[in-house]
Amino acid sequence: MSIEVKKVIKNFGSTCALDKVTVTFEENKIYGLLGRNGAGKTTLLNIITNRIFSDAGEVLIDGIPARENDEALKKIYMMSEKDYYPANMKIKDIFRWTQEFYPDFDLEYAENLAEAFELNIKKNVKSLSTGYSSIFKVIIALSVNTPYVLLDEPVLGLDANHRDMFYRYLIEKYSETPSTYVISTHLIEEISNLVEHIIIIRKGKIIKDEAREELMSYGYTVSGKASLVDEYVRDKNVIGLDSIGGLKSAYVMGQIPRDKAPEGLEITKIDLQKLFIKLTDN
Amino acid sequence: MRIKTAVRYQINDYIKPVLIYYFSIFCLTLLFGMIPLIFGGNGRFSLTGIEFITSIFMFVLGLYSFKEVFLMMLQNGISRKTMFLSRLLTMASISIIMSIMDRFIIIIGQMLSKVSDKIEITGFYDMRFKFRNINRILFNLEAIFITIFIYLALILFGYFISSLYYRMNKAVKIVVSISVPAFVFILLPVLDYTIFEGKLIKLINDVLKFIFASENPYNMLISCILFIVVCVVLSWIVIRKAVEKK
Amino acid sequence: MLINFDDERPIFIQIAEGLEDAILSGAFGEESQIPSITEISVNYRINPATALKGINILVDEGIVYKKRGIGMFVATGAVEKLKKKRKEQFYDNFIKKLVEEAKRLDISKNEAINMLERGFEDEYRS
Repeated sequence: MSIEVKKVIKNFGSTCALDKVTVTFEENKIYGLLGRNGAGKTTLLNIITNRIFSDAGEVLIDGIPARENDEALKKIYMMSEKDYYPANMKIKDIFRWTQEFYPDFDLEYAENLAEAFELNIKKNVKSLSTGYSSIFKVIIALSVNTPYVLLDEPVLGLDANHRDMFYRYLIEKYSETPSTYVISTHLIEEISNLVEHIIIIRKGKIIKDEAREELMSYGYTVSGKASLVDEYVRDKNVIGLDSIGGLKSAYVMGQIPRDKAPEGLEITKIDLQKLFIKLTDN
Repeated sequence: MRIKTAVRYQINDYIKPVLIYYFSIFCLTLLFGMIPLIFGGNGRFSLTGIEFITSIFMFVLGLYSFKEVFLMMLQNGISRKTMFLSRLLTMASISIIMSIMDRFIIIIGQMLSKVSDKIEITGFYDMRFKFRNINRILFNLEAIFITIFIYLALILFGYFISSLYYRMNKAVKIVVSISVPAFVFILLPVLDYTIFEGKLIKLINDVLKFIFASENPYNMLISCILFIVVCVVLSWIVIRKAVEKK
Repeated sequence: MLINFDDERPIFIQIAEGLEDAILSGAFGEESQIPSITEISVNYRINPATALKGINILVDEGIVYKKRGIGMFVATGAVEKLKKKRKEQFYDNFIKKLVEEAKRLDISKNEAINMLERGFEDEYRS
């Protein structure tokens, strides 16, 4: 049971947005889909959910082609910043219709969440602020109970408190009733402990597709005096450098060395955001 | 099964406009009809052809909410196929309902007309096909039947145009908005005058006569059915590749 | 129970150790219930699988066990088991490091022993 993306190609005019992208989203996992602006995250998610069409390749949901297929599409819900809901429709009506289209939608849970987030469901879509626009969609995503839930920038515009609430509800929901969540975001630090599997997309290509622990264990930082650092990383796979004055930090891909660092050098683990930045820098 | 939900959603979407329509008709009737009657005088209340107004309404209804429904369907995992089919079913249902409603109004109106000679309400269809040689009940049933197709043709036409306009970008929209009228009103007559020696316009005239000027309402029916088929095919071609616009 | 996300050690290990500390200190008595996976993961904003991994370490060691439909409980004898385990690790985790650091700072064995004695006095006094 999974979403399989197979060799998907998408061009917009002369730009290649997705280049033979192949990736699988398995059941009951939280995925982080990371990429810079314009890397192709949203394009990929849009193709999976039949909002746009790929130029080549295919997407299978539980083995069924997703393209123009109601049976496959009813297993997925996508939350995105674009407004696909009618501007004049009240939130409570949107909840009602969502329940019609997705019978497993938990209306009571959604209403409880709305209360927790202080969302007035009598309001209509266009009267909501950016933050609450995200909130109502996130509430639906948490209540819809489809096997696959895609969240494209779920915390856009949310204040710190609401972001915190969102993560808590997500974890609670996931812990009690696991399904597959794919979170596509820029806020890497916030989700780095949340996700089990990380997919990094860069200019339309998948450059990393690994379990978080593997990815994190395969990178480290060497810091200290510049000359010492240079010497130490001479034969290693350096993916990035930072320097201030005579001090340097080198970001290395490779097994974290078991032996102690030489004098004057500090070896620490690398955090996901740093890793991401260095991997996707130009 | 999701097609049922899609149909329900779209009919729900249409209810408000339809109710507003009939409410407006009712109010306007009161306004223009009852006032002269109440205040005496030589006022006559005359409504000969609600179908005509409804026809315009159906066309406008077709133009309405293409984008909103399209996006809502995409958000809820409905394929374009299902969306299109459900839209056709919805439009057919509305055409049937409106046709029956209008006929109902006409029949009541005709009864009122018999009662008072200050009231004159009848249908456009009734006036047009006055000389059909069948009994009243069959006549009304036939009227409903044929009007359904007229309304469906119009609402479909509106739908086709709105879907076409959705897919066109600004530049194409401008080109189309100018060139289509230009073709019909300028190029066609010119071509006809210079090349076809008037035969083209004559042909068009004959076709129009066939559709609109015949004593046989079934000419209208056949024309509507053909038009419906064309609209359905063209609409599908336009919609099957539609995506959200940036 | 604090988790330091910048710490070198994996989160699930920190969870396990945090729970061990709580059990050792008596915060979670034997046969009492410990926080659920959901509670732990929501609280620290981590993936439940990570929390589960941490708890499973304790399950494997017989420190906690699962009561179906209710939750996770501290096993009888857990405290003893933990003390034994920690004692075995005491030398590696503390003594060795102490000696290394003392060497680094040129602290003699006697100085170190004096400090150790003082430490015990201070601790038992307060």
